[in-house]
Amino acid sequence: MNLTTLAGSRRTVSGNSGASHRRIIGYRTREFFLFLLPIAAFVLIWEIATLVAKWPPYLLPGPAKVAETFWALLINGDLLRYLRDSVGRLMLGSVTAFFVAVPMGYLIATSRFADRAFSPLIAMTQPIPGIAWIPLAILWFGLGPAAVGFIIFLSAFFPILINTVAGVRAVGKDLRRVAQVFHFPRRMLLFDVMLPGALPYIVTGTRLGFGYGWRALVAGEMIAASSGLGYMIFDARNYLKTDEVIVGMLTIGLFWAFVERVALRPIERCTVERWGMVTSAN
Amino acid sequence: MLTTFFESRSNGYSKQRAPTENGGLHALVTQIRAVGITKIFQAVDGSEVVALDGLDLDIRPGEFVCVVGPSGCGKSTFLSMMAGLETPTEGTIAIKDTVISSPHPDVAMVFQEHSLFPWKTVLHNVAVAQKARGMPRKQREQRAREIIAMAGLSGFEDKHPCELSGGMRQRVGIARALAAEPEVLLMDEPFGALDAQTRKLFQEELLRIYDQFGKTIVFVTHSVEEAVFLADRVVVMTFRPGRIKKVFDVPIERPRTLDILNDEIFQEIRTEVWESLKEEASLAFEALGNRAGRCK
Ligand SMILES: Nc1ncnc2c1ncn2[C@@H]1O[C@H](COP(=O)(O)OP(=O)(O)OP(=O)(O)O)[C@@H](O)[C@H]1O
Ligand SMILES: [Mg+2]
Repeated sequence: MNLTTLAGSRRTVSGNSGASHRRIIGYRTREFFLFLLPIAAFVLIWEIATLVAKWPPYLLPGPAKVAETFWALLINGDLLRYLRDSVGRLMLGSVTAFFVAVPMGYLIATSRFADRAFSPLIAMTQPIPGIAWIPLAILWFGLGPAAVGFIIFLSAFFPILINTVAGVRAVGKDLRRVAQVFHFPRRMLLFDVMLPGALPYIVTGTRLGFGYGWRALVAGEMIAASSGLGYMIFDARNYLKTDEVIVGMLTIGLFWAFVERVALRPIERCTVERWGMVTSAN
Repeated sequence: MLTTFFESRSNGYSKQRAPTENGGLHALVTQIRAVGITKIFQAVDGSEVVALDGLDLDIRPGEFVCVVGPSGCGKSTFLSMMAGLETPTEGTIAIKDTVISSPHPDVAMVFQEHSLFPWKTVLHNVAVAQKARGMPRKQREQRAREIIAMAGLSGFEDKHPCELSGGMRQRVGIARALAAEPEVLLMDEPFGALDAQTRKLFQEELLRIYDQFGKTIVFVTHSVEEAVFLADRVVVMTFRPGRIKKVFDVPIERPRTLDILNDEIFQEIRTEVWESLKEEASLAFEALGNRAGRCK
């Protein structure tokens, strides 16, 4: 990738004629523009629309105003504090969900009895959206982090569970036979065969689960919390501070895109993709 | 690379090969004894498939036995039973006079689809058997490195299977089985996925291993030529239900090289075995035609 960029820029300096010019732009530069262009276009349309239509700011403030508010909230620390609270709850709920769902999924996949016992319950509970639990959560845990954590837990739990079950079942019979022939002890069967074999599914489930958790979190915080990004959005709406509402939404989206890129994708790349267990996305 | 496969003769592996001609010393002992093996599978639609029907076979220690038969005659099933992975519906399999119901510690297997762990490096794939036995990490990795070197895979210790060619993966599969230091090596079409030239070289190398380590080998293959080239005895199986049709002795002396492929005696035996197999193969071919489109 670096080489292409270097070669590209060198040729630009030496000044080629117009025809091949398009190919001269380095790969990175092109990627960057492809990334930026749609966003820039969106912001531009937004700006023009607000200028032309002259909506009152509480209906739709322009991007400049939103950027200004974003900056202000960043500087005074509100945004980071809310983000921290939200992420804290996300971790509490989702990580707990992970550590319950993976062993339980393993159990269901490997024990016919556990499968029989749990499957109907799961089939019934799984379609209920996490936020439908909010009223019960508030009744049981009161307004506060526990209620929100509970909702995140439920939202993250099922994708992880269901994918773990599928993953463990997908571990090839041939590999289990290898484990038998070479007399793998139980521990080794679990950690050297079944769990790594199920990993592509577990990774997918975890990505989905944390993503669902993140969404449920915002909904939960709107109702059952007094801090966090969801709370921020809800509170701002009460005062018709639409720019703050949009800042909250932007932060939710940006943060998750960031987590995907910086944490989740690399984990995938250096495990299941490196081992050739799934084909790489790019 | 191909030249180095198990070249070095070393480290306590070099047991003397048991004499196989004229019975000799070990004639009284059987390494593997299969008595009246019948295997009936329950198909998905509830019907029964008789895969094997009353099969008897004695294998002497240090003997190299090849099993040929048409596709679906139960070769893999038979091998799996010797490995202790399947239990016969009727009959017994004994390894060194012990009737087995689960994998025997002295038996290792090279699988049809090499079946390496994709998440383990070559080194760790080869070391699994010793890890399972609880050998300390340093020691088992040292051992695995030796075997990897013998298998001509030096420099690939830290690669994952997906980075290797098909032939190299098969080497790893064989190295893994040898690392377990088994007395009996079961091989299910180990060279099936290789191109014709590589396959020939692998056969020669396998014979070299065999001559050095003196293991008992049961080798399943589709290729009559391969079977006659490698084996002391070639077992021809019938198509469904799987029975032993005929057993051919191959009295060609060892060590053998690919040159014997041109010998008269080799070609004679090959023709005999092929004649015997041909009828079964055409039966299987017809049956396959009738079953086309059904999933098992
Ligand atoms: N688990 C199973 N359930 C039902 N039928 C089975 C099962 N395993 C094998 N069979 C049937 O038993 C017969 C023997 O199978 P096996 O795999 O041993 O044949 P094979 O000789 O190894 O064939 P190939 O040469 O194609 O590898 C086949 O007809 C197969 O359909
Ligand atoms: Mg087979």
